[in-house]
This record gives sequence, structure tokens and C-alpha cells, in this order.
Amino acid sequence: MEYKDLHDFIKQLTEDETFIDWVRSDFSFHDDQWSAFIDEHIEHMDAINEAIKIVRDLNFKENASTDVDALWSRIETSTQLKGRQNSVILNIKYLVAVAAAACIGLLVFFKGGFSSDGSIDITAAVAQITKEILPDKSEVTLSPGTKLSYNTDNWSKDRKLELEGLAFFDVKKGESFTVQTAKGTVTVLGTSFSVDTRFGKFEVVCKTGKVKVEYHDGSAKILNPGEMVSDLNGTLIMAVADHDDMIPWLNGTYTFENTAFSNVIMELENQFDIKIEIDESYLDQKYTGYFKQGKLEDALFSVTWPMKLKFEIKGSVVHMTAN
Amino acid sequence: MDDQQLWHRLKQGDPKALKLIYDDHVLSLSNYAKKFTSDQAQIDDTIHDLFVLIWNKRETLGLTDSIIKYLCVSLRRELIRRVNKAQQEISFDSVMEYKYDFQLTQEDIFIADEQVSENKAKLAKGMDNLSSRQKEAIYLKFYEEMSYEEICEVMGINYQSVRNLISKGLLELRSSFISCLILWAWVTIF
Repeated sequence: MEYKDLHDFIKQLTEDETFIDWVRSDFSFHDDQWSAFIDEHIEHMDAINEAIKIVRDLNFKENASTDVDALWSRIETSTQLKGRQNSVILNIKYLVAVAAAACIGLLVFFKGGFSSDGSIDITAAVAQITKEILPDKSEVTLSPGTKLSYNTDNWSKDRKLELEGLAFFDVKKGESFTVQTAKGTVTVLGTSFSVDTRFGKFEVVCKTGKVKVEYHDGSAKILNPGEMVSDLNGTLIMAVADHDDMIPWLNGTYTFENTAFSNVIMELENQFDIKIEIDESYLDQKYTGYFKQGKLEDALFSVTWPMKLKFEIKGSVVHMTAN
Repeated sequence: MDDQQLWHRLKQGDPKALKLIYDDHVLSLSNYAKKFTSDQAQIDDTIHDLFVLIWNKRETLGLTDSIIKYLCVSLRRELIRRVNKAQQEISFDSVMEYKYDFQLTQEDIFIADEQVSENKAKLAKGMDNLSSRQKEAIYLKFYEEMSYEEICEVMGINYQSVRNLISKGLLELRSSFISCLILWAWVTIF
């Protein structure tokens, strides 16, 4: 750094972006660079302190008086997001109330005129497992962020849904029941099974009854209870599901096997309604492990330690850094 | 998740992305807007319209690597338009050309440590001497913590102009510190 005099020296420091970042981050960003700079210019320590003081003192009050919740509510109404999120929290204690609320929710939904053609789009809310009751009383349990759409017209004859995400179906006996996804179709007659299309995968686990899985390449498999199928490099592979805990996420455990860490991050963000900040270089690394719903700290710990990361929670933002 | 990923999710129609963006930036936007107008209803209306717009037009939105920059550019443009329009309606017979004025008052300056309230007084005094554009550039740099490039886009001026605004603004603010600095330099040299 070249400077005319100490005056100019301070001026240049207070205008330097990395210097400002360094001071503003309590000397954590670019610390190597600026620690080295101080060592080189130790004779100007007082001038450097002066520049630090200016950057530190130049701060502005947060005096916004917007009512954040009220304004969001207005935005939600204007964008019709409220109508789309027809979701119910799953909780045994309130099951009766939930069932009633679901009925009311659906009634209002139809009367509201949003579904003149009978189509319903659902996006499961963040941070909670959502249970949806279909017109024939079949039940769908949706993992956070999952999208499901179906048409109520003609439902009893044509039970067809489109799914993007992770869901468990408990189907009432009746005509064929079809779940369409980007990569394949799952057809059943009356059974319970789970479908997972998150992170580009396609995985079906059959819990009871019989399930037919048709893959987009034309191949098909029939699953018996306890069997599962997933796609690997473009073909369907059959496997036996873990017998004791066939569908772990239903009990709140999310497992990952050799999955890109970015997917784990996305799942955590969905589950806990948080935002995770992490260096990009970690996103492509592979992760094998699990986390449990419930306590954020525990979930973060079980995910970060195998990756040699540490975490820090600041409100709804979590910073993950090298340990 | 970084800004690019979040923006991508918004463009794909993820309502959660809209909420995340809102939660991240609404106070910041409201605070920024307050420097252009004291009319809280107008501020809230403009922010409301901005979020409804980015949701409704999500498929055609451009890409961005800085969401706050994107929002500030739109909010600023719309606020200035509305403030000028409102002022013209009130006094349409005036020949004066109305312009927005970025207000940063002594009250806006925040110093966490009360022991340095002397500095606060000096800074606040210096702030009065700045032009509204200098104030805005300094505010975006030191409150929104934007890069010089981002400030260029928000204020619609070139890089050198931003550097000049901030450089001159800082010089003005620092004038109060200079006296003690000169004394210190004098002592060191002699």
C-alpha cells in the first residue's frame, strides 16, 4: 500500500472493502491478510486503530417501524399463498381437532372458488410434518417442503396425484391409486408405501399390500411388503427395506447415504425453518449419516461432526465453519 | 444457501423462498425507505407491492447474486417515483422541481458503547455537512454493508462516482478526528 502521509494512510484504510469487512466481522473475515498488514505496519499501529475506530463508530440505528407480521400477512393474501398452504400439523393429541380442521379447510377451499376445476395444489409447510386427508379418506403424510397436487373431480374413479418430494401414503381400498413423479409412476390397489423424489432420486418403499412401480425407461417392478426400489445410474434396483424401521422419516429420522452435503443442508433448512450459511466447497462433498427432528442443536451436531464442521446459531441463521 | 440458490428457488415458485427473502430483508428495506420518506403507510405499501411483484413475475425475473441489491434498486426507484408524485399532487402550482432527499439525522447514528458518545456527537455533526447522495452512499456501505459495485447499481451511478461520494463523505466525517491525529503525528515526528 502506497500513501502520501498518515492522513492518506487512514483514508485508504477506511475505504478499503476488505478492511471494512474485517472490522465489521469482529476481525474474523480476511483476518490473515490484515493481521499480516499490522505486522508490516506495526509503526503505524495508532493510525490503524484510528481507522478501525472510524469504521466501527460509523453505525446506523435500526429504527424501522414496519409491522413485519402484518405486512407479511398482506403479502400472503395478495399473492394467494395462504390459499395454497392447506396444511395441517400432525399431532396425536389434536388428531380429532385436526380431522375437523382439515374438513373445514377443504370446504372453505372449495367454496373460496380457487378450485373451480377441482384441482388442489399443496406445499407442505416448513418445519413440520403435514398430514393430508384425500377425498376417499386415504391419508398422505408429507415431509416439509413436499409438493402434491391432485384433482377432486372424479376422484373416486381416477385416484391420481402428482408428487415432488417425500411422502407416505396410506391408501384406502378402491380403484387404482396412482402417484406420478418426474421419473416414474407408482400404482397400487390398497396399501401403504412411501415415495421419495428429493434431490433427483426416485425411491419407493412398500410397507403393506402390493405396489407397482413403473420407471420412465419403461421397466416396471412389483413390490411386496418390506421391499423397496430405487434408481441408480438410470435403472431401478430392488432392495429389502430395514425391517424394524422401514420408513425412518415417519418417526422423525432423516437418513442419508453418500448424498451431496448440499441436500442435507436443504433438508435441514426445510425441517427447522432456518437458513444455513456454509462455504461452497462443502456443498459437493458426500455425506452418510442421519439427523433427527426435534432439537435443532442435536440435529446440527449429528450432521456437522462427521464433516469436521462446527456450527453457530444466530436467530434463524446457522453458520457452519471448519472445526 | 446463498443468494443465487435462494433466488433460484423463488423463480421456481417456492413460497418458502419468498418468506425467507422477506424475513431476511424487510427491516433493512424499511429502514432504507425511511430515509426517503417519513410516511410509514407509503413505505409499507411500496414494500408490499415489491414483494407481490417479485412473486407474480418470478418466472421472468433476471438472475441476481445479491438479493438485497436487487430489492434496493427496485424499492428506491419506486419510492422516489411515488414520493415525487405525491409531492407534485400536493403543490402542483409550484414551479419547483421536487427531488427526493436522503435524510440521515443525528438520531440515525448508533454507537453501541455509550462511553464513546463523544465520537457520536462528532460523527453526527459531520453527517449534517454531507450531501444527500454522500449520506446515501455511506449508509449503503456501512449499514447495508454493500460492495462498491452493488452501490453503483442501487444508486444508478458509476464506480468512480461511488468511490468519490464515499471518499469525500468519510473525509468530512473524519475531520473531527483529524485534530487529534495531527497532534499525534506532530508528537511522533518531533
